[in-house]
Amino acid sequence: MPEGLLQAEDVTVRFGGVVALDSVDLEVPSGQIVGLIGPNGAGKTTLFNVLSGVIEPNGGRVLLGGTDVTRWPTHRRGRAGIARTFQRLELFDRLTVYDNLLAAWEGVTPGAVLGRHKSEGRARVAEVIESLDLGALATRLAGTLPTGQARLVELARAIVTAPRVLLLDEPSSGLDDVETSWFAQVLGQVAGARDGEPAVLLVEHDMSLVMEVCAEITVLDFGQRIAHGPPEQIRNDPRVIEAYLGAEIEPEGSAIEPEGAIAP
Amino acid sequence: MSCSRLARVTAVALAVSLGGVALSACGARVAPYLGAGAGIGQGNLAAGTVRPVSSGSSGANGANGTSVSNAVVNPGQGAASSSAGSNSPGVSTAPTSGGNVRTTGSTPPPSALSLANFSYDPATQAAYCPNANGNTASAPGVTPSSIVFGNVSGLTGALTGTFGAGYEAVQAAFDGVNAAGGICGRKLELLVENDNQDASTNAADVANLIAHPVFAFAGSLSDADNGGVQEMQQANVPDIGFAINTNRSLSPDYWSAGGGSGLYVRNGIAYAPNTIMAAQKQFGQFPTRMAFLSYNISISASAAQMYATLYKESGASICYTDYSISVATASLQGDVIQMESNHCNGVYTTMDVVGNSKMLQAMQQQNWYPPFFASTFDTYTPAQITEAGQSAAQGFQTSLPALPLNSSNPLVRLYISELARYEPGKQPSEFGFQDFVNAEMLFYALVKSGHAPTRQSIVNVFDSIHNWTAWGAISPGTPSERPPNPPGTSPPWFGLTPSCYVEMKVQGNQFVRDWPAHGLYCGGAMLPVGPASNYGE
Amino acid sequence: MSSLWPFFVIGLFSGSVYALASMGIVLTYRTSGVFNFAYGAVAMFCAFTYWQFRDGWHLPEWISLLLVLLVVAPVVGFVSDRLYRPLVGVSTEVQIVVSLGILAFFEAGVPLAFGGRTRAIQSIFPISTFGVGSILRVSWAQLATFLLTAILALGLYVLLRHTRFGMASRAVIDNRDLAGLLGVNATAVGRTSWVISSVFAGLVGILLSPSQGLQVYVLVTVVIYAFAPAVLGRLVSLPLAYAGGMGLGVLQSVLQRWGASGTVADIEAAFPYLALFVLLVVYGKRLTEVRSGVKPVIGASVMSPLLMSRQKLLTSGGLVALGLFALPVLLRGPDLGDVTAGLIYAAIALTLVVLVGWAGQISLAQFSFVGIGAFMAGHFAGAHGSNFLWAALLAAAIAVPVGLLVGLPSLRLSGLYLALATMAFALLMDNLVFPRTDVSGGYTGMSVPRPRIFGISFASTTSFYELCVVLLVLFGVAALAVQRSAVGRRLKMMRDSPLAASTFGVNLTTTKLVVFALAGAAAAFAGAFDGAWHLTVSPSNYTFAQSLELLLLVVLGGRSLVAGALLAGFTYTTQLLPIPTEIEKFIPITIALGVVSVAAVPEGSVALTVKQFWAALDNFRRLPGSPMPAALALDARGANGAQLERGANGAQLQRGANGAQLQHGAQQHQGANSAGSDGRDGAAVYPAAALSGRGGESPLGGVAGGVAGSVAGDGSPVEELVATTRGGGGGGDA
Repeated sequence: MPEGLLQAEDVTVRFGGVVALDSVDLEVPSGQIVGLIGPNGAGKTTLFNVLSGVIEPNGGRVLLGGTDVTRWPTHRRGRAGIARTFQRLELFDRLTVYDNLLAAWEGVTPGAVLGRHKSEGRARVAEVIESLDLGALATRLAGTLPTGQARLVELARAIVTAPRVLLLDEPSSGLDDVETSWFAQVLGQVAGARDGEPAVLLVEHDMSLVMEVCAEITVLDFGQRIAHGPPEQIRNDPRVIEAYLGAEIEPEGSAIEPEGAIAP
Repeated sequence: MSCSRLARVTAVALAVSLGGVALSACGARVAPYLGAGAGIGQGNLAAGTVRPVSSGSSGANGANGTSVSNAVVNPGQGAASSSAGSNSPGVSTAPTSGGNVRTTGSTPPPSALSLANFSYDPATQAAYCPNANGNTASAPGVTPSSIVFGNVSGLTGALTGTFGAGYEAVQAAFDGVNAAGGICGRKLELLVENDNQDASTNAADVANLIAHPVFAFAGSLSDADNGGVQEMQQANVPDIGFAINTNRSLSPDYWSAGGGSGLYVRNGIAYAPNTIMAAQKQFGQFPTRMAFLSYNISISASAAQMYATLYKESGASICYTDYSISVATASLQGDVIQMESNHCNGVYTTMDVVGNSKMLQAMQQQNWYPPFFASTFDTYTPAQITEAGQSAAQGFQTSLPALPLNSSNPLVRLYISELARYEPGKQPSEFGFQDFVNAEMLFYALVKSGHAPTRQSIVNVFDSIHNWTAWGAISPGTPSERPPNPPGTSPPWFGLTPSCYVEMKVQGNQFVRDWPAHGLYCGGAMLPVGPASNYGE
Repeated sequence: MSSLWPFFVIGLFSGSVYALASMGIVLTYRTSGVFNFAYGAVAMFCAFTYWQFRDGWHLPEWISLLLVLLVVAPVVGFVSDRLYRPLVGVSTEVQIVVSLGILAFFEAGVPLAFGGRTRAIQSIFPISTFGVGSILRVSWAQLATFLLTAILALGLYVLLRHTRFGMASRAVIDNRDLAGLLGVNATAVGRTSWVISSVFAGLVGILLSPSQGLQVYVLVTVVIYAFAPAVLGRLVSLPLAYAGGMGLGVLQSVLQRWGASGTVADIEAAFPYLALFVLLVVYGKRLTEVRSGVKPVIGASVMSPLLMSRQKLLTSGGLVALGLFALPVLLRGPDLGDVTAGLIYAAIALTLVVLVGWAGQISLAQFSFVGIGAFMAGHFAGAHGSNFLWAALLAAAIAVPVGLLVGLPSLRLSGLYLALATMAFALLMDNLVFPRTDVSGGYTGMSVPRPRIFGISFASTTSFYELCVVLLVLFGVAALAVQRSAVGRRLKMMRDSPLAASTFGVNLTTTKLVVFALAGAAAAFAGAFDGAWHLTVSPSNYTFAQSLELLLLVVLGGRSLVAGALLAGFTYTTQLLPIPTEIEKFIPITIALGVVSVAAVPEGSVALTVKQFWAALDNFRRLPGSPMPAALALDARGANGAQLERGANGAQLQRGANGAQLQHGAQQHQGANSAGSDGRDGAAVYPAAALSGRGGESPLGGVAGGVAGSVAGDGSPVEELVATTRGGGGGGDA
């Protein structure tokens, strides 16, 4: 299989007797936005957690740019260039937007906690704020932002660390259509903007967003990979359709959101 | 900012501070084990010797007895006399140099006055120095018309209701003498502060009162009384009262009619008198197999261990100990079962009323009563009987270093009557009586100090008191005796102040006298009870 | 004594006591989501009122029972419900503070109301006995308690597992909004839960007081012992809580058979705390806290996003320091001494603010470190204090490994469970370590000299005061420096979202351990000065209760640096002042007021008040833009219309509520200032516009903030707004 910047090889995760992931492969090539979809309980979040280091798999490997990071703890992966957002917003609520970004940058930059590279940090934060147009929000407490703005800040926080891989966990959750399409726009600008980095892996329920931005889509069902390919291929893949139990995948607009509106 | 918000901020901060005060007493504070102070009596003696005291003798300093004395003092016959002077016969008070007043040049009151002829009657006491002519503001807290005293007591806290007795007694005594005109025309005032049984608060309260200023402290009573000792020492303010913590009783500013520290210390070893054991032997009640129970609080445990040592040194064997009873324990049945199987015939506890009640109830449940079961004198209160239940409490004993409160001794009756009159509703107790006696001692010193009392003048009077029994009511006391005084200083290392007790026993719904038949039993030897460091010395 | 079985049987009876208490705790947590530190106090209060009815006023026994269980206890339940409702799942520290406030209220109030004497209270069961085996005699009362406990355990189990109420209460705790949407009347369920657990507390009090004694503190202590069995059941399993309580009783009783003194006895006495600590650490992440569906509310009181400018800070800080240095001109003697104590306390409070406020680690053991410092100073400072500084530094060094030990639970626990673990640690120190004569001098204590530094003696009141001003200034400067630094940000990252922090490179383990160790070391250093202030210290100066009090003050200050520390210091000084006896009667009322205000304003009433004060002042600033009627501005923000329409997404609603509420406070003003000339207002309400264009803040935000500040300031802002969004189902009950 093609080499990805981020790669999951044969990943298996068991929780007690339940097999959450069964020998799953996944590649996120450099410069691309890859989508990860599947019905509820398919194992998307589990796979995400394996990639970001929250869970250690029972079998298989995770490779970042060829390096085996399977046993690396989360914080080490963060420093190595894997950044993520969260399904339930995990902003630093009582810090300002500015400090959210700065703190994240400092976290992954060696020596920054001791006060080194101060100007670099501030410059980088200013750069991201500018590019995502967050200037007016910079001094707001992150916890006071409405969801749309908060998601944006989360993205900005992930980007500020200049990650190699960006993992986005249901970023459109809680956004309405207008916001989602705007988000898609931003995402398009961000992905691969620096020399093919960051590569983006996107877990989503909003089909329209997925179809719109992803170059490739991987589909999971019951912990197994059942399909992989470009959007048009996936849209018409009978196994995928069946996995969603007859839910139709519309080309645009009102997507069926199996669980989108209820609190996660 | 609106006023309501300001009020709220203040209420919060205030509530917090007060809540904090309440909280800080929350961790199961327990009754003090009147460890070194209680029930041990007085006495500093050369190791191993005992002093004999017999009726009428002047137990002067320096006499050495060498045998265990079985003397019984009968001071209870003191006839009340209202005029200046006569004291009851048979009271072994030592009129040493007490008759001379060592004041600093002010007009002396009747120089013939000594403790031997000093009256307890308030009217007479006022009459010794009937007018205010020549009164000066001779010391902090003293004005021509009044003297202000301070009192820091543990009125609230883990042991509610226990430590109010001190100020109540002193206040009643003050009221009595004020009603008769005061001393040298000065009314005596008492400022009371509550330390909530917390040492830091005690220190702060003491400091506040010193700054007030107060002339001296009278009747302070708290299990946190170690807190303010340094402040008093730094300011050299006399502290007249009954000490619970050892470091207060060892302070050079501490004066108590009950004597100085209950422990004698020599060469790093502490000694205590085994009067109770000697009495038990004399009256055929000595328990040969003793058990000891205490709370898992060091003040309680070390007091119990001291008694254990005393009994052992007196010839008993120790058949069971439990020094780690928790305040929150549901029942002492386990201990009782073990004491039963170990065939103990005596139990001594240093717990409080609640703990003793659990023990008594467990004994009742197991239907096991050893011939001797007793505790420290803070349990000499009706609450012990009602808390345990009358049927469970029958036979429970405690030793008092003074005549019981139902005695006909005139000073005891005076305490009861003045308390009833000036502090209605307050319960008489042993603590209260001890502080009442201290108040009388204070009155003597004030009368002797005349129109220009100073702290030094009353201290000089206290210094001169030897073997005073307060009209036969208490075990003889020499306030100035406290170790460890280097040899060659005054007072001398060893005095001959005897240690005397009366044993009370629950019968019916009250405590009645067990031994001796009258008065107090004095005797016993000074026995080593371990390193002085165990007792904070 | 050969046979063990009588102790086993006795252990069953004492175990029933623990089991009752621990089941009560679990019941409360399961149904109300609150860990009720005041449980024992409620039980105690009910026991006292029962005594008053039956033995004081001589009402018939049954009537007294019914009055207590059907009237008094439910009333307490109602009040608790009202107090706690806004706090469930929101803020552990504030919950702890409120329950402690209730505890303090009862502890102060009951002696005042009922008088000080201890009382005997007869059991409602006969105390006649029957023999079991050759030596043991069991009373009917014991047997009845044992059986009743077992029956209650079964009954409660059925109640929670197999009734609608049980289901409903679980649902309400798991996700209040969702439960509401599903037709569960969360308010009614919450109320019922509290009534039931209060009635149970009353039952516990009445059952246990005859044997424990009717005293103010005993039941509270029993309940603390019962924390361990409750945690055995992970706070949710009644059968395990029952089993744990029984087991604890049996174990203690049997241990007693082997050793009533010495090491075995020490371990036996400290066993409940040891068990608590071990259980918590072993269970670790399996312990889950009740969380509401919402993220914690961020009120206007929280630290201003814009820290004061450096200049402003230097000037105001300098002024304060100058004022403090000059204070001896006005104050002398003991008053100055009291303020000194407050300064030291403020320095200690700073260390807890860093730990709790910034790193988000609740610790109830901070005063144990202060004690280490004081005792070290007593041992090593030398006869005249000539080695004082070395002793203080040594104390800090020794505190580091101790801090690491305290920090270990934080690797696996957070929130309530971390608080409990640190509490267990503090109690272990109180019971096993500090009472040792070689550590602290035992109950008689040890003396601590005033410092002599570089040959200068600081023994006098004034000189020691000035030295403590220096101490506080040093601590303050260090804390402020950290606050603005990368280190401070790292701590706050960890506090706000440990999960996200770790993905951004923060090694949670190292960070937590380091912050515990350093906070402990700093507290120990200050502790040396505390010891020197007291001059004589004993274990009673550094107990768990003092750690609690410290947390209480820090939380009241909103966990903010300045407010928390200053409030702590001020309050500590105040409480040293003598309280005239007449005023003592009002202590419980003021505590009650304090508790109510804390519950109503969980963000920290003092800090909130201060912030609102400044916000109100800003009303009088000049406006940069064109005015819009304040009322309109308020509506646009306050009504949350747009947010509501987004749908039933629980989190979404709350976020909207947050946003709107926040607009009422100082933040809005700050935002307005910095956004400056941006005139477009109302845009923030429409997120789409914000995303696409400039999300301008109304310069009138300041006005709205000031005006609305007074609206939001009274009562509970969250409640009001949640009520409007909920459409009448739940929170804002009429």
